[in-house]
Amino acid sequence: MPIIVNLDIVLAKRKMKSKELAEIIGITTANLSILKSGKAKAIRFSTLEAICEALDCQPADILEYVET
Amino acid sequence: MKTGTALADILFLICSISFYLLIIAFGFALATEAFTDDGKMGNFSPKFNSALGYEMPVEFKIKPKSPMFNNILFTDYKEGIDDKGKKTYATIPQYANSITTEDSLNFKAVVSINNYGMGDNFELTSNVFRGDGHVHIKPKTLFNKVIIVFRTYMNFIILIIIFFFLKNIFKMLRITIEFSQKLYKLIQMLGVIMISKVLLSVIINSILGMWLTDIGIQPLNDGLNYVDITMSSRLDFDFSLFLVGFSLIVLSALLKSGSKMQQENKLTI
Repeated sequence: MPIIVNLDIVLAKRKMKSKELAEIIGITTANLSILKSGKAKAIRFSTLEAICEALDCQPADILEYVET
Repeated sequence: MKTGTALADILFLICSISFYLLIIAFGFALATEAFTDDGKMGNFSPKFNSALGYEMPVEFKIKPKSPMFNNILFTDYKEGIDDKGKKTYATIPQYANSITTEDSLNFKAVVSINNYGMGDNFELTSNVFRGDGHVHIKPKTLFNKVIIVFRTYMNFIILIIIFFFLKNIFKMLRITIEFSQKLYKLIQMLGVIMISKVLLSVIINSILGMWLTDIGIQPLNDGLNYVDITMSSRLDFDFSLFLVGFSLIVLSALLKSGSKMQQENKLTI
């Protein structure tokens, strides 16, 4: 998929665990896992906003476009 | 977690019971076909088998011959003639002069379709009684036998399959009401099966009808030919089932779209 989710990298930089992030932004760890693995079809702006707020980052830090 | 509705539970129960009853009835019909000479087991017999004959859809027509006049049904009024065709002015009751070839001396071809019960509310305007029904026939040629047995038992099998699909659909819906790929495929297949059943019946009935000429009931005395009762084969096209089948196919396309949207929604974080 052309859109890569670099959530693992940002989580590592912030020294935060997936479970912790899921609790903060209010989604299940299963859904967070779907997002991290690139299986998600779409992401809501509200979710993106919550992730950026929790990790103190920009959307571009999490999402990357790679040409196939 | 069970999120199905009470209606799905009831429909599942009805379809399950119907499915198993149909299987038992089918087994019974096959058993009488294979193991009995008179098509009966004790006091029980199916509606059809080789001994009893097979159902053929027919259309009935009961038509009384036109009366002379002044009959309750026909309002062609002639002065001096009562509603039984007799001259009212004659001291000894006499019939009016005959005007049809069916008339004979002392007998008039007059039949009245009784509508006294309607009273002042309605007026009967039909002069022919029509109705749909079935007669039992036994095929004499091998070709006719193969076709009629195939039609009869294929209809039975298709009916069992329809209830099998309905049972499975409601079984899924009683667990949870949501779109799924399996659900839309079941509904699509059900629609196709319903349409196939109707078309198969029409094709085979039209083939059988080629050899089934009109059946008539006439009195043995030609002079009493005052009413015609005829039966002719009919195609028995079940338009309602045909329409339902098509509707289910269209509905399945909608459910397919819904399933796709639901799947995308599930993967939207």
